[in-house]
Amino acid sequence: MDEQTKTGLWIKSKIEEDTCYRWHIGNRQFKLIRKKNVWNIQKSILPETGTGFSIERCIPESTLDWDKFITEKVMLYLVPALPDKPLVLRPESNFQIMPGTNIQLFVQIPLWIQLFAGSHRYENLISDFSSVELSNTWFGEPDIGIPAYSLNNPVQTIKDTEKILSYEAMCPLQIINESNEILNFQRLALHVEQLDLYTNEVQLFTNEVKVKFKGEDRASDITFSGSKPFSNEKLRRINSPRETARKNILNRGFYFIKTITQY
Amino acid sequence: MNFIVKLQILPSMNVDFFKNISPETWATARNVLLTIVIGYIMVQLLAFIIRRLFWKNMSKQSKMLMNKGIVYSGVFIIGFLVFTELGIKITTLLGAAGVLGIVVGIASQTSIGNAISGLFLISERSFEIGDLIRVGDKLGHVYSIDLLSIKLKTLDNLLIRIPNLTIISTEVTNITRFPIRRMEINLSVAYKEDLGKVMNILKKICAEEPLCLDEPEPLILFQNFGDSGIEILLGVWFEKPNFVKTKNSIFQTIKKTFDEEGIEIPFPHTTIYTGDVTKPFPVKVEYAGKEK
Repeated sequence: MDEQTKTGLWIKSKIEEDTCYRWHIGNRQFKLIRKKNVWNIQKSILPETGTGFSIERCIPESTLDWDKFITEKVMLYLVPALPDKPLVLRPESNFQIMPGTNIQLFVQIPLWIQLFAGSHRYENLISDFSSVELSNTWFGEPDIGIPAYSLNNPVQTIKDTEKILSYEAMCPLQIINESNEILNFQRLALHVEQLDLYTNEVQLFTNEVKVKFKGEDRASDITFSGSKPFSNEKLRRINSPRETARKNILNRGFYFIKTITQY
Repeated sequence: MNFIVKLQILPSMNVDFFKNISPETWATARNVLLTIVIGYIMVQLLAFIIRRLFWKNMSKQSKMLMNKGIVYSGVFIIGFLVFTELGIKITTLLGAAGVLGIVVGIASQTSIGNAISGLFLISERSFEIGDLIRVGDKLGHVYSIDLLSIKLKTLDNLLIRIPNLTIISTEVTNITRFPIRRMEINLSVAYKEDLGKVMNILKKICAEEPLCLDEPEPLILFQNFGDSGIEILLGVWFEKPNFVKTKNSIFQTIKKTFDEEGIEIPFPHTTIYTGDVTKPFPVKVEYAGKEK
């Protein structure tokens, strides 16, 4: 690939005509062939989830059933993004946060990949897909709640950047128990679609999320730090939030599982 | 048989009708016409402005109600102005309308009943335009909620008109009211199968199916010792737009996984015994042709 700039997952590359390119991220693979002003794209799910991110040229094949985009552009922008729905964090071990306690956690968030033709602008977005298949879930009661993805045991208590895979971003999460009761951390909805994405040219990070728990019967206060996380690191913002933060949605951060009679 | 009708105009009859209209009547007619035309334009303009300002975040139902509210109010105001222009006293008209209302009311009890039921339906908000509802044995998306009836668009694209009176007195099931639903799949496995293994397989299928929601958790219930096998109820939760995808996917996965794991899905069969439980009914196969 000529005229290529690459920083971690972020790639800007000129797509040669009649050349087949193949990308492999997580358990997703996509192929791209440009035929004059038609971009042919095929996405597929691989049986195994890789830990890396690879790009290679491939042998051109029939593009009859591929997605087709008509554009005069020749530059491809491959940009990492955060998921399009909130993530429900489900720690496997039972977290009990005592009253008045402040805990710093780090969440590994699987990334989405956005493909832009020509420039990194939303009108040029041609594809937007997850790097790994995420399981759908529901946060809240069956009649009132929000659709989300579930993430099992994604929480670390120490900042170990070596554990971050190439298709993941790290989100610093601070939980403050301001109530007089023990916070049994069962489920937490993390509105990742409202976070920025930053890079230190090697790994990806989101802004810091601060959750103040005020009691089971009271709405939690969730705030997003508008600035870069880890002030001592040199970070650059590479993608903006999918949605702007809405206070009323954020209020319902924690969910305590009750026995729901299903039958 | 042909008839010839001769129309005779007498010299004393004045056929030029318009010559007899006074300038005042012309002015009134012009004002009435202007009121109707300008009123119509104003109503349409008002509806357009409200659509531009508020419609972005409104449901189809609210849009319909607002549109009808503007149009009906507009027509009422235009009618009032026209009557005033014509010099007709509204109080007299209302009095006449009262008498006429009794006559019309007696003659059209059903229609009035439907109209009142329509108001109740709108205020009750059991369903909205676009919802998938079942009324009796009719299933379809609510296409419109009108003064006398609601219209359903069935899944095979037919339009069904159901009078509001029928709706108000019938059980209505709103299938798409809530954002998530539980799909119930009845399946059965042979008596010889290990039920613990079957349960684990079903749990794994639900966990690995991305469209099947992790929470609320899927329900696995051993229901009955059936005629041919053990009957199981599998209830999986899904987001309402994903009904077809989820059902097709989960059915295929269950069949494939059961085949791979050697779990038998029984079909109705009968075993005949001659009275001795250890020996089956004797069956002897004989060749009709010459033995080789």
